[in-house]
Amino acid sequence: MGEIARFLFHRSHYASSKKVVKPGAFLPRNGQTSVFDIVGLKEPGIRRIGSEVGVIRGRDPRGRGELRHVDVTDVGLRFERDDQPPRHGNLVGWPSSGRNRKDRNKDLARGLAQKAVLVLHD
Amino acid sequence: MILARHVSAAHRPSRSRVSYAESVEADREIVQLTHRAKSRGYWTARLDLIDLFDESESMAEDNMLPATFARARKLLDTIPSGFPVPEIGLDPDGEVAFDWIRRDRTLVSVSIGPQGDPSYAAGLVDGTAYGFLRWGDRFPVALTDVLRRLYHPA
Repeated sequence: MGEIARFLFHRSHYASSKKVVKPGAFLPRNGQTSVFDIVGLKEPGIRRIGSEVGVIRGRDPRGRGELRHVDVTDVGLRFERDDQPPRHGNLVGWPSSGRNRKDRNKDLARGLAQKAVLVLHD
Repeated sequence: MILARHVSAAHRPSRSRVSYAESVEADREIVQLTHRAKSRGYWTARLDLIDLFDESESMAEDNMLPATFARARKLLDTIPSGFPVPEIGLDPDGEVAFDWIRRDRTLVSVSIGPQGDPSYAAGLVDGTAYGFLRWGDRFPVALTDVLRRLYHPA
């Protein structure tokens, strides 16, 4: 059961044939990755959040990658909830500087991708 | 066999990319009309890359630079036979991602930008690895090694 959802808006961010989320879906923008706390929510509630995010993005999410909190902490990142909008938060703790930032970020994103459960929104 | 892909007319290149976009469109026609020695997967990946270049125009910060497109195509063209063609993706910083993913979730992910050495991360049966790949004219030797570990684990 997932606890954190990363909504996926582009087909290049998952491989449906192998049922996996790709590392690129978790890479940070401006040092953080936008996610939602989905603890206690059922499918309609999760999709409602996705639709609301879709209004901002201009398109509905194609699916989502679900993680547990322990998956995030296992790779050395943190989930910081800001409730802007409700249940929203960010994955933070990404390497913010240094020559090897991209490959280190890719390694952390790879760790998340290997743990994530892909849920497609039909 | 001719491979064809519908492309949305909504994703038109900006003026700054018009000339390059025209050459990309020419590239698309070549891909659609040519099917020789390379596998069907190769041509599908070439079209995916072209589509992603077009679509990235509307993805704000994810915009793929022409130089990134050219370098990604070059890397794709030099993948040694014997390895599958990767899935093509786009990173938030506009770099193109090549992802080799197996059903057991082991994977190798390479990101290539407009300049510099590509970065990679691998989650393999025998461990993990990440770093940068020295890349000249030929396919990176280190990437060949890590792909061998992915598809032919000891």
